Amino acid sequence: MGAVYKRELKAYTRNLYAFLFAAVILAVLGASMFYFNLNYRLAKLAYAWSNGYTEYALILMIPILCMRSMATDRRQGMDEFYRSLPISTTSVVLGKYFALLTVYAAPLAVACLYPLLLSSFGKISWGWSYLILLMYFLLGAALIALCMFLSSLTHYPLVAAAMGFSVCLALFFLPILLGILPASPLLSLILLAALGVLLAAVCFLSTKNILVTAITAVVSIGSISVCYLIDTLKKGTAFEALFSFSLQQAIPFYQYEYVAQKGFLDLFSVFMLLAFAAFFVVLSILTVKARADR
Amino acid sequence: MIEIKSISKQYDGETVLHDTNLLIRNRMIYGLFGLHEAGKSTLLRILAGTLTPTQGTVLINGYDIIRKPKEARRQIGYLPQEFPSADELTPYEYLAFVASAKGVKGELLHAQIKEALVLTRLTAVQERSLRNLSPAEKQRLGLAQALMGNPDILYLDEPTDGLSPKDAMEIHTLIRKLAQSKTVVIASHVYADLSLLCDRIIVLKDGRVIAEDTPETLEAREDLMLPQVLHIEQPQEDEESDEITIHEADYEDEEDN
Repeated sequence: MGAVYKRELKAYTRNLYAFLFAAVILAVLGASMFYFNLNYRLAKLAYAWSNGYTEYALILMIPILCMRSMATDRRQGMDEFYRSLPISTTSVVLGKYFALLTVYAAPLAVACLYPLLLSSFGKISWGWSYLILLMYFLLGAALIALCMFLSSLTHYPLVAAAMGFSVCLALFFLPILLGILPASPLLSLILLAALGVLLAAVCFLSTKNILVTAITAVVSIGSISVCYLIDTLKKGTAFEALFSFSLQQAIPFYQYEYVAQKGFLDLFSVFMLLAFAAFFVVLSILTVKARADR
Repeated sequence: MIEIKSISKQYDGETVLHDTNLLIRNRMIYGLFGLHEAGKSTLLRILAGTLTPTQGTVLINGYDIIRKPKEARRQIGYLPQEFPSADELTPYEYLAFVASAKGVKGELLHAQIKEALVLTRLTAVQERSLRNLSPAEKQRLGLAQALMGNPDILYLDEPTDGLSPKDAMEIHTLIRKLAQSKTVVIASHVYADLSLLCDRIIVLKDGRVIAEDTPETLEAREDLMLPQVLHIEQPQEDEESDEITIHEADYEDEEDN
């Protein structure tokens, strides 16, 4: 993993995208702080960094940063070359992912100075300020994993960037759409089952592994159906708006904004962001592995 | 030694490599010859571990390429048909990455890189970006990276494809030099190249091995319809050896500079 990590990181330092990415993230975080905190004399840094602009910056820049991570390798034959080396596919994907995380963490390390800067104008909540930075890092980590996976599906970096941008934007606005869905238990069951089918389809398209696909479909649809039956027999209300609620929990932007508003370290939110990242990293590994057999 | 046992490969139900059994002995140059889609690149990719066979096993110095991939891959250096160049890196950095991936560390890593750069005459361009290298320099870098980790076996897929005759001759000289201490397997659709370089040639047609022998024996067989190649006589080989010595002197000069 170390060899791939170093190689990727070296490539990013020679690449304009990484510097552009860092500049945009720092500029947006700085401008948000200046506009919302200093202009309106607000002490909460979380308010400035969770009003949409900072998320828009990630939605725009992370797909650009990640677009080459896997797609270029596939086009140049580098992924095949990796398979001739005594390193595992997992090491290759993790090496790439951690290199992207390092590039992302670099401007955030500089942004750690922003609360210090703000504190020179008055009293601030230190814990909340650094908590929002941590959550911003975790939000980025989740989106990087997603965009890296999307990059592994195509040969073309621009297609990967377009897919990443579209999916991230859809995720950002999804909580609003979920809020207007009816709270019917049956509708929740149908939509959750459809989500299970979609998940299984993604697994099949990326891995071409029927066993993995079948397990995903059976576990997701089966467990939802069993839960629905139990809930109906007990005449419970667990399935009312369950689809909207559960999907919201899986959306990184929702978890990020939840912690930003509450101002305390919610371990469930941290777990959900890490789980989201881990899911797409694993899916990337399976996608690259599946290609070796074709 | 490479043992190929009942290897076959299917793509979407179509068999591109049929039940192949071969034994590749140490310290020899083997050629895989065949026309377009004969199966030579598929076979080489399976031997390199970049493609999983539908059935069969490949033992590289006793290590199964499927069951013990890391150990098997440590035995090999692979130059793919389209050498993937990371344009942002320099040749030195690229070689450092490959050597590091093969588990070479510390002083040995730098010594191996330096040796490979001298051998492939890339010392002068070691700090240049890969995007600024000529096709011949990139191909020599491809050979240099295959040498990282000092593998026993080299797989070279169309190593002179797209090169000028002069550059191709230079690659041939380098391969001969490397073959003194390594087993080399070369896939090519240019029979003359293989005939001049190889000790034995494996002929593939429609995914099947149809012959395996020395170039002279194969050329004598009329059924194979191979082109007759003018083989270099012994005195000329001596001249060739001198050429390598001159190159060695050049390397030293380059190093001194």
